[in-house]
Amino acid sequence: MKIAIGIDVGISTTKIVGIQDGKVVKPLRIKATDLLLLYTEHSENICTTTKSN
Amino acid sequence: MYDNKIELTDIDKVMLTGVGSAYIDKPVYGLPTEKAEEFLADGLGARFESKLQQMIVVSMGTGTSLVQCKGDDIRHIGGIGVGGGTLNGLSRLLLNTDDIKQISSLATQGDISHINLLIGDISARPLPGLPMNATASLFANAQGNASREDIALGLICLVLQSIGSATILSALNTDIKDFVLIGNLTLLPQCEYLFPMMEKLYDVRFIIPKYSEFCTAIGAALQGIDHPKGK
Repeated sequence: MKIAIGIDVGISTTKIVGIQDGKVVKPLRIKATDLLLLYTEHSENICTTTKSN
Repeated sequence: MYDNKIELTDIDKVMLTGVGSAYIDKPVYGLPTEKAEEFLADGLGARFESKLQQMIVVSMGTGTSLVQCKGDDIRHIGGIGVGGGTLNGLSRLLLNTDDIKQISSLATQGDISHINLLIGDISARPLPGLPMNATASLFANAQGNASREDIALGLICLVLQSIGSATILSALNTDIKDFVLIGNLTLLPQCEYLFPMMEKLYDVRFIIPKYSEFCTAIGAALQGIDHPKGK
């Protein structure tokens, strides 16, 4: 059976779950600060890539 | 999806809810994407996780909203502007941090009698329905030199007790005795003893289901599967 995904986009945190066969699968939480960290970690690579292009 | 080995073709539908969903107006990864009504999602998710048919759902996020469920009759009945945002803001002012892990850790070393005025402080014997350790006034006992640990516990009690009291009052003149707590604040370890104290005092039940913080997302996904009518 296919999965229905629910995404709760909150002020500070976004939560993602799947529902399959009447059961919760793969709950995941992402904080706004995680995205900022991800951006910070990768921004150097992004800049480098942009420059090399 | 990559980490969880889920293929795009495994997904039937994506349901979006929450205040931030208003900014998303394109299909996610090209998949069928719809908006889910948030308060209905709160009710459906809490019902799914608690297996209860009649309850008030207490969604403790940045603020707090209350959703009454009686079978398929799911309706938003109000809320209070006290929640995780209040805890963050007051902690920034009084503790110079809004790191919730640090605040809850500090609070484990706090003594609430140094912050709150208890019935035992103002009465020589218990009042009808109010034991000596019941709160008479939040923060009324706080002194200028209160420790960070005591302040942290006081702030958490302020937020959770205010929510608990508002919740119980919201069920007056109904036969509802079950309150299902969902949202980020349910992860505070102090919930484990503060809500049971209120249960004993007011003869109600507070339930924190397994996936309490994910209930709104669960309810959104459920709206993609079936569509009970909310009001």
